[in-house]
Amino acid sequence: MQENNKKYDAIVIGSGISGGWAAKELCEKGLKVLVLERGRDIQHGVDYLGEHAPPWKIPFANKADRKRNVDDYPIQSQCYAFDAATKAFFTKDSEAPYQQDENKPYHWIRANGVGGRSLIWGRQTYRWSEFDFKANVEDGHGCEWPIGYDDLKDWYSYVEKFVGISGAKEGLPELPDSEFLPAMDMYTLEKTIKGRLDKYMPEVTMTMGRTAILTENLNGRAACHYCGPCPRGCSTGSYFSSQSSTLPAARATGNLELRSNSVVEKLIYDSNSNRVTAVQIIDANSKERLSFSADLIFLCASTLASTQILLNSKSQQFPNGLANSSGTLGRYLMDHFKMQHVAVFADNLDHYYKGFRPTGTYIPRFKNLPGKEQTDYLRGFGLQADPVRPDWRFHFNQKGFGKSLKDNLRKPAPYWVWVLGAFGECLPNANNRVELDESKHDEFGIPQIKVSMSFGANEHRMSKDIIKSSEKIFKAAGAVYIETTDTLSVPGSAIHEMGTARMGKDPKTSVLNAWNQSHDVPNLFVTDGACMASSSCVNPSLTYMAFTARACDYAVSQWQQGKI
Amino acid sequence: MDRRFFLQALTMLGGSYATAAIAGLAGSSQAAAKPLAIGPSIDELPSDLFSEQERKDLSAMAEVIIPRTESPGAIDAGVPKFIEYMVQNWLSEAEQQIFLEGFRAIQKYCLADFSKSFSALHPNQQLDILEDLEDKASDSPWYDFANVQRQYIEDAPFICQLKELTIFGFYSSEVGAKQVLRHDPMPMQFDGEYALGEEDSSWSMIRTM
Ligand SMILES: Cc1cc2nc3c(=O)[nH]c(=O)nc-3n(C[C@H](O)[C@H](O)[C@H](O)COP(=O)(O)OP(=O)(O)OC[C@H]3O[C@@H](n4cnc5c(N)ncnc54)[C@H](O)[C@@H]3O)c2cc1C
Ligand code: SF4
Repeated sequence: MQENNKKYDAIVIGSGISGGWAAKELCEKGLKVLVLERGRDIQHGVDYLGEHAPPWKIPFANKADRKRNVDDYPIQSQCYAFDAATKAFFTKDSEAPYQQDENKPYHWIRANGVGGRSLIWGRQTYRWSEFDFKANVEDGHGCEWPIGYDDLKDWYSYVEKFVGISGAKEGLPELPDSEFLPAMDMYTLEKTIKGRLDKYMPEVTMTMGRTAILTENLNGRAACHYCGPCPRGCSTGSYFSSQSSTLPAARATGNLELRSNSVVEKLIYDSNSNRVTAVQIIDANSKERLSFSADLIFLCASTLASTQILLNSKSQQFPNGLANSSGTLGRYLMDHFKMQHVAVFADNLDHYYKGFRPTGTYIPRFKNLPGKEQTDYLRGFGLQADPVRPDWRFHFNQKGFGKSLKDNLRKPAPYWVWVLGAFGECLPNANNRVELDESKHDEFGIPQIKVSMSFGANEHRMSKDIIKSSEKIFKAAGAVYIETTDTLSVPGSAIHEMGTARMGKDPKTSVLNAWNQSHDVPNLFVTDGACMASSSCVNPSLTYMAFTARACDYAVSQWQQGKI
Repeated sequence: MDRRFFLQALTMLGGSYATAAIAGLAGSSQAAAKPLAIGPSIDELPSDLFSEQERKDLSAMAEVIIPRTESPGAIDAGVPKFIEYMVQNWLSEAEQQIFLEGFRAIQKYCLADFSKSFSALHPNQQLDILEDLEDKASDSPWYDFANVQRQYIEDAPFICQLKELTIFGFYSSEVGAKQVLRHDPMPMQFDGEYALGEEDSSWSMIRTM
């Protein structure tokens, strides 16, 4: 193996949402930083190959490329954001295999390239609340969080001012307000619905989706131009991605080195110094093994990938994976469960819209909170809602020919559909876990992970209430036809995978301390979703950002004081 | 197939995050990849499945489905080329066979009964032939409320395949998007109260994600 003599102050593994933040913070504090990213380089703008492609330029008129999807993207192609114009960002399942428990399918949705999933994410950004951080200790599921909302509050503000989040203040303790740019407008239908909910279901708040999209110019990034399909990339930087935001800030310091096509295989641990002394990679092109060293190691490869690296970093001291003296590494995997319900509305048919608003509205959790309805399950759910005015793609299969067919297809349907997408909190459970499957390797010879996860009784009880509550909301909102489903999403497919290297107070039952620092190995930090000790019901990435910025601040001060 | 499926499928096509193919854009070969926006249009991709006569007949059929009226029709929009490309490159072998058999059966029938090719028949005769096919196909699940392209109906009869490809080709084409639908690629604003007049078309591209 080739050793690289250049020594860095810090190595960041992964360049997605968490890694981008770590790179920015560490570089801005003056550290020499190496970012190791397994995927290809993706240049801002230049490599957004699907951006602004008009419908007539999209292969097969954007009908799914069934053959290739089955061969190369059997799992990724099930993601809503996957299509002909976005698929170049997604990881080919055929090239990055993992194992699933036979009876428990798990969808691992990935975008292994510079920027990670920040290029294709849904940009929904919500703070966690004090209730979220207290949930474990109150109901006894999972371990106690070592921090509370107050510890993170200022860090939320700090990252939000840089990210740029459009949204509306509501003053709800269960969904604390962020630092907001102006909220986007609601559709007339949404205003109608909101008016009815205010009247008939006052316990429910309907607010504009809080979204990492600029409604005003910010730091050289332009306000959104409402073109619509964000996951194709956004060369104006109007939504937050590593490319548009954190990596340029890191680069501007002159302290950043980013090495793409660098698959981290393992971390090398030295028991004498009790430190990670090197990061071993395989160059994806040359297949050559190389190692790099630094004082601080930030593991930000995303929940499952970070834990894979730790599990694969075995030593005499840590035979079951690095930083795993507790034996909890790999356990307590969580993902929100998703359910979708739809209803038809006959209101505001003479209203349409101009511009493609790249977000929806949000109905925050309104159960099992002080002063709200208490139920037969623990914790709660939030609802993301979208209006759709169906077009020709929903009616192309009507009978008839000629002028009347052409004219029918040309016009919007004479109804609206309003979709409620529920995200339910998932309890931490030791049996939901990821392990290494030593009998199966990827093309680099790295053992694959095996994921085993299913939703439990609490999630299923909650799902019944989600159906009931959605029906109630639809009725109050004035729906003329309602369709609910009782299926819970396949674990993983909410793409909010969390846990497996959880934070906690007790080194015997957790992997990381209150600063995202390994209890066992002080120069090792994990700041992506792996650190989460519970899952809340809101989208998690904003919280990873706040954790990352906070951990960087702590690590650098410790490092400067010679304590790490 | 049920209506639930239809409504669920809306979530794939419509809203943003909560709800919810590449000939030129091969993910792996980065060097060769070009932005889709400067690539070929869907009616410019080459195919060599049909003879000149077959192309004439296919064009006539597409034009019966979406004719030129006060606005352009299927032929103006390049739909026949799109159909040929899709039949050759997108349909599975079994689907392609259904298409070709159905297509050739009409051609044979026209020659036998009228001693003319389909394209040489009077528009009313052409319409009768296609309507007759639709009558015979009308119990196909292709006509179900639930069929919204999420799943291609693999055993759909020829007439259904023909209509689906014609309609997708037409409303996705530049001509269809700009002259029949409304195309607004750079709206610069979002107005949620924008009025819809009785004669107004849909936007050409309703896909936020
Ligand atoms: C379609 C979609 C919609 C989403 N919507 C939302 C939303 O609305 N709100 C929200 O909060 N979250 C959303 N998410 C989730 C969000 O994208 C993730 O939570 C977030 O990207 C996680 O950040 P991360 O840095 O931990 O991981 P990623 O962004 O996935 O980045 C990890 C990086 O590490 C690299 N890496 C992995 N393994 C290795 C290795 N061995 N060596 C070197 N590098 C490695 C990867 O290539 C990748 O670049 C969505 C995700 C998707 C896919
Ligand atoms: S809708 Fe806005 S944020 Fe999304 S890609 Fe277009 S300009 Fe960028």
